[in-house]
Amino acid sequence: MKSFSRQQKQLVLLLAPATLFLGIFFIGPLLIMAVYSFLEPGLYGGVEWNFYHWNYGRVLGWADGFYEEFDLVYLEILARSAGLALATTLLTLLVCYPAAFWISRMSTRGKALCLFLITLPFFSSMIIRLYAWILILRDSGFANQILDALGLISEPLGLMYSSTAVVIGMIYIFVPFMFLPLYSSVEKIDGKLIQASQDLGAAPLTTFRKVILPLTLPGVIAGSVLVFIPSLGNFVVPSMLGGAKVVMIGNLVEQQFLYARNWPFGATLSMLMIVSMLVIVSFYLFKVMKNQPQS
Amino acid sequence: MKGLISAVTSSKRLSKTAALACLGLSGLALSSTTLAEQTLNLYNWGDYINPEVIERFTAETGIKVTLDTYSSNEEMLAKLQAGATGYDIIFPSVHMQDVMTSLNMLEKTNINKAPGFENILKDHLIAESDPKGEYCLPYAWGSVGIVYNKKLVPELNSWQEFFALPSQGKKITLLDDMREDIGIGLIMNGKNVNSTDSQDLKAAQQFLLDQKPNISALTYDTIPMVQSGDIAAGHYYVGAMMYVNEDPDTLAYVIPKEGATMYQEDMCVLKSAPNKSNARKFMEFFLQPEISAMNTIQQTNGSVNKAAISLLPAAMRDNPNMNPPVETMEKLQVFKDLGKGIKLYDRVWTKFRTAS
Amino acid sequence: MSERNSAPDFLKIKNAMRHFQTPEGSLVKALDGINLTIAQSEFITLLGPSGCGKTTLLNIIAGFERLDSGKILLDNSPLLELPAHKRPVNTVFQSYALFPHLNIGDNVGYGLDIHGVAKQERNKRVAEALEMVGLQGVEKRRPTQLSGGQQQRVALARAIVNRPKMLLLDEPLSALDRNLRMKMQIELKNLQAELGICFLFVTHDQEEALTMSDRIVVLNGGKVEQVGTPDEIYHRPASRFVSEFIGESNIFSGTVSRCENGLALVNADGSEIVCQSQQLRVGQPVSLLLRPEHFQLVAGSPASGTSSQAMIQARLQQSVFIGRDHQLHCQMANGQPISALIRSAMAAVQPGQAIELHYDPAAVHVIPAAAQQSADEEAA
Repeated sequence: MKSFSRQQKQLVLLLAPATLFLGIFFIGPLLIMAVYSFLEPGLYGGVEWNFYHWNYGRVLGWADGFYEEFDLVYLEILARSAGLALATTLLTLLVCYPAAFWISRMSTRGKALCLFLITLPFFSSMIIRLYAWILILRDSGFANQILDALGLISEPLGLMYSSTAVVIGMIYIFVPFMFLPLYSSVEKIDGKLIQASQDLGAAPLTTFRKVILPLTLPGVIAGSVLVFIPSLGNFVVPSMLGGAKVVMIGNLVEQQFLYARNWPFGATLSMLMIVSMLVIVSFYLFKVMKNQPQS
Repeated sequence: MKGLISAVTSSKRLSKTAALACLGLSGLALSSTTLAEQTLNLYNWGDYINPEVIERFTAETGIKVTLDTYSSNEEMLAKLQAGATGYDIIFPSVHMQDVMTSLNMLEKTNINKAPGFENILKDHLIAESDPKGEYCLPYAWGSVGIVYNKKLVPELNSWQEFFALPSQGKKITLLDDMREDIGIGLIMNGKNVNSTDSQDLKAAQQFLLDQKPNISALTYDTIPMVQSGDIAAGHYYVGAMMYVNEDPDTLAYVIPKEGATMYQEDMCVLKSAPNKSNARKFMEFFLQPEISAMNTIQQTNGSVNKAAISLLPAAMRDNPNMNPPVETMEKLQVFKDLGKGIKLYDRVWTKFRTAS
Repeated sequence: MSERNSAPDFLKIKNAMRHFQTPEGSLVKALDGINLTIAQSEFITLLGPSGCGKTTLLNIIAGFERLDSGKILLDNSPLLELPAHKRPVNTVFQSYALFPHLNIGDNVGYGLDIHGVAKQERNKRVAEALEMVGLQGVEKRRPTQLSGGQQQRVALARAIVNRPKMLLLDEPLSALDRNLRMKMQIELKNLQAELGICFLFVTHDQEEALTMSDRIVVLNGGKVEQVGTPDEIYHRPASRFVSEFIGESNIFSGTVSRCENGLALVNADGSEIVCQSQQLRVGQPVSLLLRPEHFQLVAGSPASGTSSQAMIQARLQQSVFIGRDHQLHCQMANGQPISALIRSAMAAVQPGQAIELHYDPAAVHVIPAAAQQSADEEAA
């Protein structure tokens, strides 16, 4: 007991609230979900307290078709969600990278204005903003009206309820999450390093590959994680703009809890999603750690 | 680990917390100890009661009414199972009423002894667990049919015609609802919408999969899309009549001739209700024909109260889609609880949604 | 690096002009018609106060900035057409600009990697370059693990490993402490001699410039004030600006009152200064420079001097011991302050005491009038 210094005690006191909060409201539910995923579904929701491994079997292939049926469709859905999340991540990155450079070169006033504009959507509900996109994308919507008025199209493009609409919506929703961390790492780059690279003979693309990209990698990773994880679970955009024709892992989990009354299976799907995300994220974090200067 | 084991053994308490956590729902715990003020807490579907009814009730009785809403039977059940307390009256669909009765969640009110109950149409005492109306008061019903844009589709009478529209370059949508969509598949195969026969469901699944490429969306945002002409016709509730009445030149609603599903919600008192006598007062209040009619007119759905029906405006009373004749009524099927059979439906639904 | 015959006009800058728009909208001339010729193995320093255009000129040679008009030839081929990454010059940055994500070996080898030098050759040259700057075996370390001086050496190694035709150094020593800075000055000078390539060194520190340079280019307001060896710049400044900017100076302005035997007597606000000059005419306005170290101290009796003796009478205000010498802060009768550097052994005088500061008329430098005028214009 004596070995704790005053400072250590203070640290413990300072960290205690956050630790308690995370422990109760984050780790706790996670543990409950982990436990539930191994239980038998109750007839009307809830669980029966019997060990039941068929939930995982249904997804991963050892269900015997007697209690539960194995179906590849769940892995397909997981893969498709991951694909959409990956596409969203890459596209937001593509949009945000040049924008971050452009804005970081602006005057202080221009920067402030642009950052304000980028965070502006946070002030209103996502659902309302997606409804606005419905008004834009539908056949009688603004996008088609404008293109028609310009004589660029003779009949509506059929954007609404398409995968294009889903991708547009996803990019729109997640751009701020990508932009902000990216911008903060882009802005930190010392212009002299870029000059130094040029000076040492690197053409612009080489400079980008060998200096700019590695130095903004923490921002790229942070932004990618911030976009990838919520877009993996997002089902609102596919539902509203894609017409719910495509099931995402988020829809599937919602379906299990609210309609199929199969909480353990919903918990199983969530656990599988969390585990695969943890694997991906820790892989990336590991890579970043390796490449970062210790400071 | 010790914490986990003790949590596992005290299962009942854990399941409450867990459900909250798993669903990410905010647990609602209304205070039932307000003694000074008479209160009544309703838990209803969104936009499913005329606010004027509540205002009139408060004006007449002095009982303060709060209203919370849910968007599906399962959501309501999940919340109550997760430990939400304080609600007095809920409005489950009849099959959910059966579930909740079997879960011993509903209070026996003997509302069928109340004055005015004789006006309730016997055809609407359809809950299997409550054939005499000892527990719940039939509240409202409606068909689930098709709303369409008359400028794009001059006339529409059947599912057959509805599913043929995409081949004419016209877009259609279905509801984003497992039971309703599979229900259409069953109806089109002449089967019962509550069938748990795997052959029946296979046939329904095949029908839906065949239609999948032609369906623009599974959505509840049907009305504005049909009104603007972006969608020619959409699977929707009779509540669409509210918009049809506002814009009769563009919109129309029809119960397809092959038949359709119907829903009915009953007004039930929870065993856990803190204000049971106030709940009883509200049910009796709602038995008055003019109150019931007031609600039906605003909701543009079906009434279960024959005295109220006679009070409806002629346009509603004589509309075959809102107050259908007997031969149409016979073609409307109501959902029952599926028990374990829901797993079969879940699979069909996932297949249907995953198909391209 | 074999030392070729040093071409005298290795780098030629012709009438270089560069303007900047300030945020307020006014036009600033960063470079105002610079003409300069630099030899192949010269250590040349661009010296001037901040804003004089020295860094702009360096950036233009490096390729980080463009010229509005003018020409630059390096080794007889036009330089300005080449993008920065194709120029045969390398830069050592003031902030070192080491890549934080690469270790020292990869920092130094960066240019070699870009040019696809084979791994073995590359590693050998990296080790050589590091050895040349006195850092061995640090390849695996990170820049942040090194001290400022070590980082400086890495930056130097990173630049010279590419064997540039010319090395540009942008105030590379300004972040180092005084002792290290002086050590690095010597090392840089030795390194330049060893490599035999042109070093273009930018600094605002005149001492640094005097220590290291073969020639110094003094810049002011985007113009060249003077180009010369450190000795010329120090002892024969071409303008009042140069004389004031380089070293400590006592400047006397007045008119020539008498000329005889190659000596001219200048009346500067009541006191008379004698200088050696054939060109001066009576009545000509003139400025004279006397460095503090050119004085000798004769204490006390004003009566002992004769009029032929070159000396200034003054009153000592403060005497500061600075090691080998004492710095005397004095005031002439007309109120002009004078600074003198006297051997400590000779400086046994008290503040308030009247003293005579003797000098050799040959040591008095006449600042050319034209240059002086233009310098005054600039100042205005």
